[in-house]
Amino acid sequence: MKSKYLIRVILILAIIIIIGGIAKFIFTPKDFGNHGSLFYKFYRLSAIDDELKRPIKHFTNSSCIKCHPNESKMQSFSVHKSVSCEFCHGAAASHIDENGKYIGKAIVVKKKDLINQCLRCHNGIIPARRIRNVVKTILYPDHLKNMKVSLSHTCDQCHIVHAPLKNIKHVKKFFEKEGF
Amino acid sequence: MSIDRREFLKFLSQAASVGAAYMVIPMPSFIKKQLKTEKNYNPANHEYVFIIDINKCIGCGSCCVADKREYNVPDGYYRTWVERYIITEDGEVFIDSPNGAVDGYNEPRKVNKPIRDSFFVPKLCNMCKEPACVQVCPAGATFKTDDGFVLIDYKRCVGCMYCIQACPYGSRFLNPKTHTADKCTWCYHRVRRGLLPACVNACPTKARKFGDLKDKNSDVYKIVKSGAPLFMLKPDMGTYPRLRYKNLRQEVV
Repeated sequence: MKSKYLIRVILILAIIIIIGGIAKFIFTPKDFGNHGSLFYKFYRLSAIDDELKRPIKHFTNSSCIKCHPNESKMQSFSVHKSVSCEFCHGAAASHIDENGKYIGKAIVVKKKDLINQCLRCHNGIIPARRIRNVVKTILYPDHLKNMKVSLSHTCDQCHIVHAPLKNIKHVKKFFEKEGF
Repeated sequence: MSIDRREFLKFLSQAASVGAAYMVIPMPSFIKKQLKTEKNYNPANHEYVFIIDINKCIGCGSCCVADKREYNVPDGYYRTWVERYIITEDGEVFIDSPNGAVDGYNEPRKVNKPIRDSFFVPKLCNMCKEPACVQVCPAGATFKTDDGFVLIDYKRCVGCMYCIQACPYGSRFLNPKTHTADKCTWCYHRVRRGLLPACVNACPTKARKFGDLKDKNSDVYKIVKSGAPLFMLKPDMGTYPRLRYKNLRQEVV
């Protein structure tokens, strides 16, 4: 009697193993396996394709030149040449499609937001920016007082945001020297 | 159409070695390429490294904004973030990163002691040569590609979070939308199309540098060739990161 039960258990186990094996064979992707290293490269090869299907959203500054030649030219010869257009104006993928056709408005930062946007880099109250002179820093209301303008002024009332040192009197001499 | 046996075998072997994953990817034609990528991409010809110059980082957070836009990262989770370090005269270290620097640093941290040094440290996936996160994955859902990127297979990931615990740099998180592990990919989809990663493209002071070490005209090759001391985070972990820092302070963890 004992052996009868044992055979039953073994049979059930065998069936489970066989079903499991078949299921593994069916459900494991064909390109899943060792692709160079058992520790680091045991994966599904088409996962790379899946990753590559991700759309690009930032189109870089060079894609702006065609439709916005003036701004691009002004920006690319200014101290702001290293600033990405898409940082202030939003990702290009929501403004133009893959063929370069217009699909939606780009962000235009205004008033209070504009001041905040400028201060993200130029706020001298942060000690790390003051210690090393990577960017020109200012203190926000103090700069307006020093320049003797109204405290309600926004940055773009004096500085052209694409070329911030253009049309500023005390840097004009410097610009003439450099030949801009 | 006639193909002789030799040609056919050659074709077969090529198809097997290159595989479906390394074909040419379409890209909008008006975008200028920033990196050198050949038509038939061969991962063996590329060795990408990421170098961050801490002295140049001003903590504007444009990298974080670009990253959030590129991947639609949910609020409160960060693929890349910027930490602020403040070191006082007596050696005390203050570290903070309000909202991962997505909003930038608008206000100084109040420290009552005199400050000796203050700097920003951008952080992202280190793309280790021997990644701990890959070793622990039970589903084979995270892996290293032949060109050295550590990527995630979002279809295979079961969200067990082993990798999140294993990563010594804390760069992984569980994405609440997809319920899978997620992390910085060094913008693999952009790099393969010949574009710089979104954060590198957005960096206004060029503190972040990305490039191919095997391309002798690249910025990163010039930095490495110049002999500038480059440091990695947690070298004693034995993960050999490919993300390097220039001017890294000892206090950074």
